[in-house]
Amino acid sequence: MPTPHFRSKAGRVRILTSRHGLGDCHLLRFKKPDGSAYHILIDCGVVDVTPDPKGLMTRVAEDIVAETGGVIDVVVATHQHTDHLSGFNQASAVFDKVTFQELWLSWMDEPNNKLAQKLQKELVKNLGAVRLAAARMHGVGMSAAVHVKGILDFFGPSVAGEKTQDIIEALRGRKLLKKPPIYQKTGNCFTLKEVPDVRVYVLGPPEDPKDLKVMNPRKGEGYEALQLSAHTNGFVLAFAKGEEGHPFDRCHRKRTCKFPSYSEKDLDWRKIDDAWLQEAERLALYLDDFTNNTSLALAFEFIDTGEVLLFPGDAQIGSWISWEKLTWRVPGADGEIRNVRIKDLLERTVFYKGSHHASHNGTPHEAGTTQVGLEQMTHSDLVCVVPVDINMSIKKRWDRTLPWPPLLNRLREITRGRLILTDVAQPAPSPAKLKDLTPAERKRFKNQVTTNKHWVEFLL
Amino acid sequence: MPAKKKKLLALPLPQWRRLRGYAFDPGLSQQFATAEINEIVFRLPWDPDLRPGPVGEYIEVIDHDPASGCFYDPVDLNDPSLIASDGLLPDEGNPKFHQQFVYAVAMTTIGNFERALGRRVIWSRYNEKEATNERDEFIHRLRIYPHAFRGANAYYSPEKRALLFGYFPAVAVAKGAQLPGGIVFTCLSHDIIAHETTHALLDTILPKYLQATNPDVLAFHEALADIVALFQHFTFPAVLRHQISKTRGDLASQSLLGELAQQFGQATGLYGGLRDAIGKLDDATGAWKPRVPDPSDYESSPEPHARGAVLVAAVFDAFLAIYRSRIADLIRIATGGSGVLPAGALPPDLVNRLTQEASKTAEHILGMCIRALDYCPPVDLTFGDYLRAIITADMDLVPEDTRHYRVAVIEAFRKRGIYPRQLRTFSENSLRWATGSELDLSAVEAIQYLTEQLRPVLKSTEFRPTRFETFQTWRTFQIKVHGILSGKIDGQRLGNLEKITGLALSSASKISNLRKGSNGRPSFQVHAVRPVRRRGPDGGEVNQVVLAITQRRILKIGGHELSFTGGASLILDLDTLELRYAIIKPIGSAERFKVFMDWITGNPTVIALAGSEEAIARLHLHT
Ligand SMILES: [Zn+2]
Ligand SMILES: [Zn+2]
Repeated sequence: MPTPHFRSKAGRVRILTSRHGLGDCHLLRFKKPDGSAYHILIDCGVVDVTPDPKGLMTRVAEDIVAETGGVIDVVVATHQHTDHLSGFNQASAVFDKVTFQELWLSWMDEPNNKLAQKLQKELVKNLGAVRLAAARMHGVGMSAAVHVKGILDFFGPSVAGEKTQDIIEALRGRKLLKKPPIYQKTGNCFTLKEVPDVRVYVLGPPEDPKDLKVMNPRKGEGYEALQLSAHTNGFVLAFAKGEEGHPFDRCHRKRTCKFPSYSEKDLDWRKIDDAWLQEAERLALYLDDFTNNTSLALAFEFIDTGEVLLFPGDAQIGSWISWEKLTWRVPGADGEIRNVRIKDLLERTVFYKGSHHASHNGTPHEAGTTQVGLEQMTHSDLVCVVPVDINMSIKKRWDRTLPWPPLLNRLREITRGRLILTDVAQPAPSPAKLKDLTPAERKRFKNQVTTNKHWVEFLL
Repeated sequence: MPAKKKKLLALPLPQWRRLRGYAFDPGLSQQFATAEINEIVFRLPWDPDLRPGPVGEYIEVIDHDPASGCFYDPVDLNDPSLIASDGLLPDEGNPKFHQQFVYAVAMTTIGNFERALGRRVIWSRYNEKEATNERDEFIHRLRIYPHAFRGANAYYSPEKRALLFGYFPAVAVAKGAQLPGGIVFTCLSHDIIAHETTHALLDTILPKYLQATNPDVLAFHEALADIVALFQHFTFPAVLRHQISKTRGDLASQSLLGELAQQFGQATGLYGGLRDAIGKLDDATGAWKPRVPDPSDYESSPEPHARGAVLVAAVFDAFLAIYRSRIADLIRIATGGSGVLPAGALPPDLVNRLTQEASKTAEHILGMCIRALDYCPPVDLTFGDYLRAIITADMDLVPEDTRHYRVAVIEAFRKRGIYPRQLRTFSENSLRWATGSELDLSAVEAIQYLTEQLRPVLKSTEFRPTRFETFQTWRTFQIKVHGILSGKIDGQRLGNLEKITGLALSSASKISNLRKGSNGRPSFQVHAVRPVRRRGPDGGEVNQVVLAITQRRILKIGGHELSFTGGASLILDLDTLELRYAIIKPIGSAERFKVFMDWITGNPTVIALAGSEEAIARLHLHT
């Protein structure tokens, strides 16, 4: 495949966002003081139902090689979902020859972090139970089985035995990784050594497990999800042998049914033999959302202008809530130390990578749900790019909520039309959609964003 | 299945069966310190055919725990030793006690509905697979599975006509309140059982309310279930007495009732959200504070649970106002007119009287809220409609509102922004549903003819037939009404009946996408013919029949099929042969259609669930 041909190589940063399907892949190119390029690759994956994912991701990888010359300065793996990681495996033939100078992961992937290990262990145990439940649900023909499997697939195709966790392992263990993996500490900020005018803020994942477990944009329900995770323990234990999880002493448990109407003929529709498996759906959704909240969420700031590029991964509400708790002490352009809060960063955001494919709980956009969200992104230059693929959403049966139409509408309003969806069937914003921009802004946007079949290019 | 013939016995049967149970959730009892107040005795009408399970006339408890791969043997409440000792002692570790408790609470709830509605509760379901005339199918008993699954939830399954209760490991819940290790059983919470039973009862009375046609309908299912649980709980004097005597100086502020209301059911961590709207504990002082109502409460809470909470809070406000006015004279008497209670413990007599008033008020509120269901539209209810239904039902039954109950209700609703949007004033009379007085001559004749055919419906209630026989009678009349409206009355004979009822009945109807029958006329479903026969406190008598009629327009939205429903509840007066009220949701209304489309395309839950089989189970997750 040919290199993506773009007019311009100018600008302080260029962001290429891949249009390969439902999944994330972003290549950032900053300019070093000597004028050479500094590349950061954020994620490379596609949803499992994509046809010929191997061929597709190999093409994407080849494009990346062509762009970077086979050396990537930083690779960021935001979280353990296929649609963010699968490419590293599917296109391993290409990637194996590429040098990664650094690999950035979240604290959730850190082997020596006790809390991370505990949460990961819990996740694996829960996933195991959900997989068993899904198999049983499928066996007895429950319609929810399809849905549960659809969610499970985000953790990697269980048949092939390649789980997303294995991809992280492989990244960590690769030969052409120049330094040991860097587990970014939430709440940290630092300047890029080789690009000293860029500062990186680590927003998430939340350090408080409570926040990791908040998924839904509902008011005043902080403890809801926390309970859910604890409550599912009984369900998970049903798949293990032994006494734990049983509600009553052994003497009460009977094999034979002394309720004659339960087995009455023609009344099968009232039985509950399999109804309990339904809980797997809740648990699966919870695990999925939980994992989204573990996303390594980053903000890149140009120190002199204050402009911010926001890459939240698939962070959901719980992560956004936790950002409110962070304060960074950094020198401003004038050298004076000041406090920076998430609100400041959002106000200065000029590029927003729409979180979680524009789901309804990926970006807070309703008043009252969180203190910070879309409404704080008030910069007049704001451009938003969202990785979505309507056909794949249909295939996953999420077309009515992913992307979430009211959110897209709000994004369109707030960016005054400068919303770009990566779905190749979605046209770039038409002049009519950009009518609220001033002529100067329209011109700026035209020079800033270019699209071709495979990539969206954003220049700053 | 008809019940079997009873033998004549030499001795009369006992009138009541007494069963022990928890007054509060077992987990909560610790917070109330004394164990003695956590036990109450439920008094249920004697069911002569009660079998082990318990399996009675209305419900059957089946204790299957598939996640544990076992059954728990059924309790036999007719065991002489259990009859003599008011059933089993409360015991979390004994599944038989769990069975006894769900039975007691569910039957209490059913009893409250029967008393308020003045007729027997009958379960049924609409079975598309049956022949046209047989589609309404009699379901003898609601099933209750007390240990159906492992999860922090409980739900009503309309597909199985069953209540499913979960259990889960105890964890810390909100605000650091710690539960002991071990297991929380949702089937041991009075409020959860009453709540879920109410879902089943509401579904059998107004089956279309599980369709999310606007934000209020789903919210209403939740809110009513919560209201019934709450006020039923308040009808037990034992629950109130201890708190009333304990917080002696605080009677006027009523905070104790609010605090108590919120604490019910919280041990399980369920329902907290619905009750939070009533008020909350002040973080600084630790005292409970009622939430100040705001006229924007209703509009600013579109999410179903939040919106339901607004309704719960409004009904609770009305309850407090009525209670306050009912105890005013008692306080005056007790304080010699000063209103200031003397120091020291309250006289037990005063505590008893206050308790009685609180529990009486709860009973009345409960009755009002349930009776109103007969005056609700068959589809697409809004809270404003419900307010009108409460007022209309109460005006019919109690023409003289001497205790100002209705004023209290209207005021409480208005303060939270709940009122019918199409009305300009909110007096009793403007809120009362419109009467059928605008019918033209042909329509009046049509209604007379129809109502005359329905007169024998009341007879069917006179000789205590079995519930199955009652069901069959009702169904016969459903078929009859359908026949009359789709055959005998058409064209000229309809007069302005379509306009007044909002139904599309004539073959000339021009409404698009309307489902049509084989005769070319719009099809419709008569899904209830309910006799309403009540006697008010001052001797007023109500002899009415409610017809619930619905119809559909089929829409295709983005490849998904959705129906837009309309319909009417027609309340016919059997004495005068007049249309007393037409409570309508016109199928042809452009305004309704717009509201529906805005709602259906703008809501994540609704869109995700449209066409999904497990919609109800998922919507009724209570965590
Ligand atoms: Zn994703
Ligand atoms: Zn409910």
